[in-house]
Amino acid sequence: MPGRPTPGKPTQGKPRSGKPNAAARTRPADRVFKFLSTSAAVSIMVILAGVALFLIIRALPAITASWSTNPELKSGVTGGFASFWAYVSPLAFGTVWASVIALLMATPVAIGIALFISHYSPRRMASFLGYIIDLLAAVPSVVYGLWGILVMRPFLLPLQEWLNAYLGWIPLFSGKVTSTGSSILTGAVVLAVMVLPIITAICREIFLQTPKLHEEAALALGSTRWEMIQLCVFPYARSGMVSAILLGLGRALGETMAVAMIISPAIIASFRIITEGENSQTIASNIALNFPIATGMQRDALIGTGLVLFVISLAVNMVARLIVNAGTGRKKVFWRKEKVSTS
Amino acid sequence: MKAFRFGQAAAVLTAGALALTACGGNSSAAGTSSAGGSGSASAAADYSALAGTITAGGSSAQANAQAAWSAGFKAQTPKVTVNYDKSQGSGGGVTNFTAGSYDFAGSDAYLSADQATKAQAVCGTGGAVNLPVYLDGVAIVFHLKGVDKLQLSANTLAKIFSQQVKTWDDAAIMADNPGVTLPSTAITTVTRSDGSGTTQNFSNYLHQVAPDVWTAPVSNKWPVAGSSAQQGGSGVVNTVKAGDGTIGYADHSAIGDLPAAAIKAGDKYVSFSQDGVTKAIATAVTPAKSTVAGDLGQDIDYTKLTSGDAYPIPLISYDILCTKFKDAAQAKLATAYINYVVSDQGQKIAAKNAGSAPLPIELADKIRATLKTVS
Amino acid sequence: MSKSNGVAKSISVKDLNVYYGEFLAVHDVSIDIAPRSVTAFIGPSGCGKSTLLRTLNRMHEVLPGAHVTGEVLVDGDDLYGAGVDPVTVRRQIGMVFQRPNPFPTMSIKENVLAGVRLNNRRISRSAADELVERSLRGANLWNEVKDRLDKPGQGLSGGQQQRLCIARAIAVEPQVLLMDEPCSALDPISTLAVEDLINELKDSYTVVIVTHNMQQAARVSDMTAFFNIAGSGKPGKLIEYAQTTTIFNNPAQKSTEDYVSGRFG
Repeated sequence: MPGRPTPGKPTQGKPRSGKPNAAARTRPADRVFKFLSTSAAVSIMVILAGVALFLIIRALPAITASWSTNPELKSGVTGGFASFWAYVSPLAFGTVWASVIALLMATPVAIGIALFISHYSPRRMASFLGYIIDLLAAVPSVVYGLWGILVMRPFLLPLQEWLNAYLGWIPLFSGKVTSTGSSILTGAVVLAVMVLPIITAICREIFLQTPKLHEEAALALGSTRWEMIQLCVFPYARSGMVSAILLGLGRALGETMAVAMIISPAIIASFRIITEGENSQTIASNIALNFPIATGMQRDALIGTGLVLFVISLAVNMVARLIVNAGTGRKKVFWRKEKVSTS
Repeated sequence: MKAFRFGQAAAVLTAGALALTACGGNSSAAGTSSAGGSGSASAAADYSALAGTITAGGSSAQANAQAAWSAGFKAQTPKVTVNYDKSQGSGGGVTNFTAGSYDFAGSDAYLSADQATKAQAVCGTGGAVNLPVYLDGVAIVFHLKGVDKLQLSANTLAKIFSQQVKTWDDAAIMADNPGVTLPSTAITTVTRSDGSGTTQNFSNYLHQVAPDVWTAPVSNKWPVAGSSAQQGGSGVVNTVKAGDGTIGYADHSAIGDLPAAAIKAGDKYVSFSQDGVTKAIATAVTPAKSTVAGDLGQDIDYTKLTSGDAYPIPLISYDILCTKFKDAAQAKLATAYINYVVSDQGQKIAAKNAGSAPLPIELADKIRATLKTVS
Repeated sequence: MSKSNGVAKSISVKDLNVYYGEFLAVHDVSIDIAPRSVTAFIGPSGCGKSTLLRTLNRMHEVLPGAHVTGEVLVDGDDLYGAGVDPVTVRRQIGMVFQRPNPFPTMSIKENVLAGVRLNNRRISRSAADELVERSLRGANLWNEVKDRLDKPGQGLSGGQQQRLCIARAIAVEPQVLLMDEPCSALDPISTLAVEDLINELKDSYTVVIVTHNMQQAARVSDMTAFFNIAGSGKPGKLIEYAQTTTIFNNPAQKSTEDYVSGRFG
């Protein structure tokens, strides 16, 4: 250590004295990058606020208007509703209803696929399957819509007739059964396929992160693979699975094209899922279908429904956060790793 | 002026050639060369000095016709580009028009009083005129095994679409089709799930001709529950085709090879024909109430269509433009284009490429007269 | 199947080769382990001692491509015989790992009962309570945790966690208890507690322990097996297997002497 600075003689030539100071100061590149990343972070908030503001400003006239007297609102695409809330409530119901049915179908399959990839299949097959699943996510929704119309509608028709004939006493399957296949069930099946990749991909990542330590502990106790999964994988992945499902829900809530193309809608709140004329309509699909022909105030009303969808999506995301955070709080040590991976 | 005349002369020489070259580049202008060769050459000469861009949009019913028109127009005025945005729909067209961003709007309905007032903000106190440039018919398409010809009266149609008649062997349908064996298949009505001018026209037709049966409102959103609602005319056509016992309504130009029912008018059943629509419009329209001179918004009185050669469910789509443009050059462009659209040649191209019906001569003349007042 | 009820059994390894895919990890090991004894496996890193330990309850099969040739007889029954389910093997031969791994979402009590629940799902509450106490006492942990049995196992100290894992392993009353460097992640005081425990465990179980710590091997084991490796990529081999006192004081092989006396590279 020939050049070690001594108290009495802090500087020993220029290059050496420069170094500690330079390290303390931020370098220009750092400052530039900090500025860039900060402005990116700020801009996303500005955009979000802007979208919310736009929705509120445009929607307010339609929300506050008198729907029975306003010449635009009382006819055409918004005709027949006493108020904005009477119009949007069945739509909000339909949005959630279609998405929940889709999730009920997608979740078990997605978790099954994710488990197969993470814990059952040979490595080469796992990566191939993962690739296929990711590919599903890349298919445009209009293609899913066409697939739904041309393939799934006729394919699911016999099932729906059977459900109606034999299980028609269950309210879910009651009503006049569809003859063209444009039911919520068909739409939800297609929606399920669309949200499948999201849920699968996230679950797979989380399952793969299950500590080997715990898996070995379970196996060494003499658990079968399935018992091992119940014993360590699921408890470990629980909050991650919930957020995966909620992300899938977010996707399903906002899905437009496929739903608009497949489901034969009515603006009513109905639990029936295999009828033709009693399918609850979703907000996004209703906007897509009616925005083109809607005029001034009707457009504001449709934007108002968009605001409601925005709020629903926000609520879903917040609930997802809450659940994840609750999980984190209870098992601090254990969840930390997982939280990093999903945030 | 000199330049203008020179342009005119040049155009006469080149119009045919340009029309031919356009054929190579744009398939939708396929009808241009033959039509361009006919009596419209002198009209074409008027356009040649024009240059610029026409921005428009709206009704998707007009989309195919607008594509054919803009290609045909471009063949004669290579420096003019027409951008017609069909994704807007009628509502979007009018909204953008009253916001001042369109030279004209395509709409399946003429401006409401409210919209007309809004249009004054852009067009000045003169307001805007509705020009009925595109005619078509609402076809009643069906798919029923073993049946390829169907006759329906207005009352039966109203009963079917208001869900009062539920099977094909219902007495009402049998009465319309003597000698035809109809199966007991359940009827599935297929309607539009999106707001549509076709729905507006069809519900208006049922409302006028079968008021006792049809009690639902006239609306651009299908007003009766219980049907299979599909997106767009193509969605209706596809679903009717895929099902059995299905019946739906669609713009005739969209039905493809599906059979369409003949509709009773007077005491005859009339099948769709382009001439039948033209005749229907010539007979049944009355000018809508308007404060704008030269406005050609039309109300259709379907009850007048009893002659037996007029198709009973015609459909009108409008182009809407200001009587006074902010920019005189733009006015010249737009009027030239609409003139072309309503010309014999323009209507023939649309008939060939979009399946629309040609305008009655007197209506086309009225449009030309109105266009002269636009500046 | 858990009716073996803590009957410690002998282990006899015969001509065992362990492979990972094509790679031969352990070459031709034969070794006899007496019931109710503590046997230590020592040797440098990579010599295959942990691998060999894992073949004793077929845990090595968790890695894809792992397989063996030869025999491992537990009281005469071949672990690798046709029709032998590895899951059954593992239920009878317990294992404790290098790092403590109690199930994080489970309470202390649930952790102890985890293996029993797998073996025999229905167990009365009183029987469960009794088993928890017996196992925790057996692991010298009862007095420290008896007031917080319903708290997460993750909240314990490292040494306590490791003893909890031992309690979990002995709760199913295995025939053999395998320990893979059980103290390497623990501080000296916890290590001492676990070593005391091992000394007590050999009264009821056959214990095999892998350790890097020579003193530990000397302190806890009756027999010691020294493994070595000729070089990287070469298989590990059993060099010498004898009474622990012999290995440490009077080894037959030069390399054993070098290793135990710390002269080993």
